Amino acid sequence: MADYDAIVIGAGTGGLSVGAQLAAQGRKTVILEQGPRVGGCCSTFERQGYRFDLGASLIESPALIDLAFRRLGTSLRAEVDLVACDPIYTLARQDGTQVPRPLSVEAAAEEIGKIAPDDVAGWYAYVAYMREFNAAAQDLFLSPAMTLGDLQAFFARNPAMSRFVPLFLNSYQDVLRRFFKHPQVLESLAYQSFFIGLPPELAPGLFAVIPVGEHDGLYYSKGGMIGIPKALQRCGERHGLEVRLNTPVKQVMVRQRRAVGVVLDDGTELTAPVIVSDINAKTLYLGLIGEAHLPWLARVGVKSYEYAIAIPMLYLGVNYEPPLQSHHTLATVSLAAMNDFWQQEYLSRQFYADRQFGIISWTSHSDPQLAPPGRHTLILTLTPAPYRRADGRSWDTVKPELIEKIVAYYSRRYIPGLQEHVEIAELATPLDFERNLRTPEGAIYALRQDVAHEAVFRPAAKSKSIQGLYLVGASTHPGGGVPTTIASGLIAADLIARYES
Amino acid sequence: MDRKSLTTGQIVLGLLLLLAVALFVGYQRLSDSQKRFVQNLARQLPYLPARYAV
Repeated sequence: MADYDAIVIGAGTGGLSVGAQLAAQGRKTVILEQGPRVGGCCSTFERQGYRFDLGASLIESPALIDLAFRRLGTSLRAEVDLVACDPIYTLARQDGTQVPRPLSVEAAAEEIGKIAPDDVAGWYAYVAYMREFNAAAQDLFLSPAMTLGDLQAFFARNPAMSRFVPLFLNSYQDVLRRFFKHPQVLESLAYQSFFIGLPPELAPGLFAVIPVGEHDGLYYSKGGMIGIPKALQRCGERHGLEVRLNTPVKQVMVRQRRAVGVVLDDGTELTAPVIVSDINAKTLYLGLIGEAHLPWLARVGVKSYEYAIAIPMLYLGVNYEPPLQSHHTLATVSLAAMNDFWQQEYLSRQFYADRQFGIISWTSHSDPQLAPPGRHTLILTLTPAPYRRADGRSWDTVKPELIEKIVAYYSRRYIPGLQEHVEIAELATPLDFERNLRTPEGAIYALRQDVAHEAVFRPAAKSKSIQGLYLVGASTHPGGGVPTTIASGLIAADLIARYES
Repeated sequence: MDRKSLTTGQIVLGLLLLLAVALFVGYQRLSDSQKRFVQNLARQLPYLPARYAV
């Protein structure tokens, strides 16, 4: 008799989501997490009285997350103390101007009108178009999308989707350009393409839905983003879920193309008829399972996947109130500069401390408890960075000088006085993410998210090579992000309910 | 090869040539940015059948 009904490898939001659902199905389920905390990239850690979010610093699409909690007999609002962000951002341009982006679509239109009156009509058309697309596409976030048959069924259920096929064939920036002309308006909507790990000219057009989705609500979890995974864990434990921390898995046992259990780092074997992986799919198939267990075509496919970007984060504890206007500040550059950055710096494996753009999260603005009295927490989401630097220097070696230069840059350009008020500063590089989260090359979204890595071309939620093996998290459909990885847990739980009685 | 099948073959070949010319002309008219978008997907085309198998 097996030790468990289901074993989940990894306690990221995808692993916790599926683990809680499987426990609620009445399955004896354990989650094995290699690290000391749950949440993966959606986690929070403490340094000298400051609490910092490791990666994710906001959520949108709360309806998807709420659905996961509702299936567990509760709700997101009942389990997590959410703070709504309004304005959703302050846009800070390179020329020093700062413009709020209010939550309300109408108020945002007013702000756009101050810069580009001719783009206001485009703004309303864009919002209407993307909301229609979003409504039609919701079903896709909860469908397996593993086969052409799945996609055919999806389009049959949602005939309105045929109108939106051009979104899959055009780039993010081409979609924006259909609606907007003014460069500052384009700039204000372009950065979000990096939320899926690609510059505006390479990201698929469907992701131009992100800036519109933000106007349905952008939230922060009070106490830190770890509040969301902790809540999933708590709800799962009410149904008997077991979560083991500091328990790395070194192998998935496979017998005759069927997953039968796992081997822990200490050699302990645990068996179960269902194994769910919340780790990078390349690591799973090539490392924990081994390519000998894969058919040759799947082997070629797994090896062909390209890792997503790594994004360094700088965590700052400061002893003054930073002169910022809102929880999130989007430090932007022009749309062309974002594309140039990708072609000339990222692909050339360069990372410049003084050519930054990204997100400044002033988390203690929404929750003062995150810092000691009179002090504040700032988290800088920096420009994407290469895993291997062109200059050959290790990320560990360059850390101190990078911290100094980045703080000086932000102090000069976006946060006056910052340099004089930093009490603690910690930089997480691609190498740190790889070490701490076991994400190869620090790829926070696991695999790239262009059309050739999406839906039927992304590793399937139900393995096509190994029976009893299921995938959740950023590696599988619908991809990286807190709501989407939680949705992947729902998809896997539904598949397991269907195929593993 | 009879006359009819040769004609059909010629039509198919002609259509394929037309398609290739249309794609070539269409591609040439794209901006550099759009070309990079297409190139990024085109270079991955050979892997798609294998990725579908994962």
